[in-house]
Amino acid sequence: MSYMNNPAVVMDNGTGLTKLGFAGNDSPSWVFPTAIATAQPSNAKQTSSNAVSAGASSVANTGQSSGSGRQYFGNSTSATAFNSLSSGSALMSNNLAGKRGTEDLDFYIGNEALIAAQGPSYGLSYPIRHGQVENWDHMERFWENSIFKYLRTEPEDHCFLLTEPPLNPPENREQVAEIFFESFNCAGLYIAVQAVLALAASWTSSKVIDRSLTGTVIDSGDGVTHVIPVAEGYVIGSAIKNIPIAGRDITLFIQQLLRERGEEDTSLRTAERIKQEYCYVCPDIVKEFNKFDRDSEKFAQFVVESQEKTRRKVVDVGCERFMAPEIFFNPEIASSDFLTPLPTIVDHTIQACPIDVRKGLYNNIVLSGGSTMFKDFGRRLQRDLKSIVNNRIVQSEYLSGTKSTGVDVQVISHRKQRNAVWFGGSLLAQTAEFKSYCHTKKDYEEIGPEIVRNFSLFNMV
Amino acid sequence: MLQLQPQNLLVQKTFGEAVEAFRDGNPLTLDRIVSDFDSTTLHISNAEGNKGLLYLSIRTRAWSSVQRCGSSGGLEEFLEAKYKTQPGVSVASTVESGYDYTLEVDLNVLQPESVVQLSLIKTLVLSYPFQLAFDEFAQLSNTPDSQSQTLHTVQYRDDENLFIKPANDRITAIFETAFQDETDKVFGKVFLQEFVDARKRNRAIQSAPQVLFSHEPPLEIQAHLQANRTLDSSRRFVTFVLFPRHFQTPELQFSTISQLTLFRNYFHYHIKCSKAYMHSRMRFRVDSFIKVLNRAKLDDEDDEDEEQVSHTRRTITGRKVVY
Repeated sequence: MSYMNNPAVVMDNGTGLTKLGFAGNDSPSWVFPTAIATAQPSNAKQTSSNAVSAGASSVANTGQSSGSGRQYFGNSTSATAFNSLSSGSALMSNNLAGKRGTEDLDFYIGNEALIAAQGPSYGLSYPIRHGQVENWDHMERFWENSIFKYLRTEPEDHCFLLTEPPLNPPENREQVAEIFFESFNCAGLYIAVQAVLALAASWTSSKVIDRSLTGTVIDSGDGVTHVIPVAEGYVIGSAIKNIPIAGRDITLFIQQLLRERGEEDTSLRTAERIKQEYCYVCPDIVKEFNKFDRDSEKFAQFVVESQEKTRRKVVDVGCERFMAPEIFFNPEIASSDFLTPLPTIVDHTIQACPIDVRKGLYNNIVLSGGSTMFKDFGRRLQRDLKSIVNNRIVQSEYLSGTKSTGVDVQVISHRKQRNAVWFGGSLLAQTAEFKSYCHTKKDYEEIGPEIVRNFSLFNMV
Repeated sequence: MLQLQPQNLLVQKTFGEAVEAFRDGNPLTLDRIVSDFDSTTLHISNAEGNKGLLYLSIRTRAWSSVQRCGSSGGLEEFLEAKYKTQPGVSVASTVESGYDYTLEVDLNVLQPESVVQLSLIKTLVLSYPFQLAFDEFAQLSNTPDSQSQTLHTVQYRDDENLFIKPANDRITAIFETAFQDETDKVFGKVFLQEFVDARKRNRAIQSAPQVLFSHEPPLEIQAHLQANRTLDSSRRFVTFVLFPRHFQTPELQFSTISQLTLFRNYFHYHIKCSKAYMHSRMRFRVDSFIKVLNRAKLDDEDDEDEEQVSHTRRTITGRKVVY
């Protein structure tokens, strides 16, 4: 078959960002917001005139069709050249005449959507909430555009690797399969759990010796942080824990600190840039603060903001450099309702797993997502977790009177951490046997959508 | 997005980024696979030891058949002539193994317009047989009553072909299409009929090329097809008749070629879009049915047994007290 030589397409649709690309590449080809801007229902006046013309069309059918014919075959190449017929109400009305238009194609995705939504005629929406698809109509059109416009692939020729969050209901998988096989006729489909792909991505680290799919994944994106234990490729669902602290909270915390100090520019954008460029994790917050008090010059740095190249604002960066990521380890400094530090959560998660996999889980703690990119994040986590584990070992040795063989705690951080899930997908999808793990269109037609409830795991060497 | 764009956005973006990063002093290390329609793979990679030099290689299903259209080496010459004028782009001395054609790009002098040309490489490869046909048309039109024996065949997919036949007053482009999927066949039929009917319905597009659609191979290629293989009935033939007004100037030629080479993708893209649209209507309809069903639900109290009824308290107006 011809599609055998084509690279597989790897798509990671997250709550905030979508990562698209081809297997075998080291970074996603496209990273853009999972946003879609659709034409908003226009005002009532237009809708009523539609209804009138729709009514007239049944009488003068030829007149109506030649009118709508113009919008099909207008010479304009831009996607915005839709006439006033395009209103959201016409799209969903039960009136047949309203369906001659092309308003279902009048939308933008990604960064273009953000720009289009600034105008009055488009409304922005995010089809994925909390990692799960909420609006299938929008998602289907989002995929349609990402495949044909951005990746320029004919889905019939390519295998697809999609990702799903842990604890995604199987019904959602079936929906995905229906869309990919029925609408797109894709050659093959594999749906992988994000945490498993993040584990696979960690194989690039030199610390990893055996390529196993056992480990704890700490996935911290923009909205939420998950701690997910994976044993031999299977997610231990009952032990998954969520932390309501993630990238956005850090940004807001920085913004709050900037405002308290009365800086010149306290926009969210500035706070985000400070987070990305200056923040790091310190070994000890009290010591670091003392150091900062004694010699604050060392920490004060500037972000030069050029506002449309005309004015320049100077913002001091002070203690937030190490204070902001600290909210993972001492949440009480930022929030009042969530107080458990990240290392304790990780420990609880692993303790909730079956005893025979715990060593493997402690031994292979993998970071993934943009909010784990702070300098020394992994080191601090490893140190804190080690002390928790060692305390427990000492106590149990004291209580039982036996000698423990010890537990090795290892946090693995690597260079592909930011897009770890996508990269893991790219690694797995470029292997020669990937295509044999995919479900094909033929299998789908034979068995039906429930075929995607099970995927065979990649056999690791 | 009504129409597909001829240029590859990803190639454009990658080169744009590479140029920017190179000018900022920290050049990118690239080794990227990019794909395009119809089993086309592009590979962008660094030259060894020189970060300012990139290679763009292309491998496409249509290459060998396009090559056969002209004289030997004609296609390479054609592409070289197209890219020679672009600053910073030259033909690489060796073709990367596994690929059909390789360009060498010097980031020092690369201009934004050349980036656009680079992203059009697949369209340019496919435009070669069209260019040959245009040239032959120019010769034929000088001598009326002359007949051409040429028939360019571009096999751009495993089981689909494009035939281009120049004549003394027109050029005919015939697409042979086949559908893998039964549903697609039905959608495709509607769409193809729409292509034919559009001219009849709309007076404003009378200058567009005439489109014909048939199950039997058109006369232009009948002899060729019968000589080469047995016909099966699942094939459809779409004929575009190009008159001189469609390819008078280079700009017109380019837009004609880029739209014709994207025809099959455009066609399949819209089949998929209509399916997506149908799906969204089905979901809408199911939702409205569910609403009706929910409205028809009986109240809980009717099913409750005595014991539970005694537990529900009611206000004086008959409303239930919810604990």
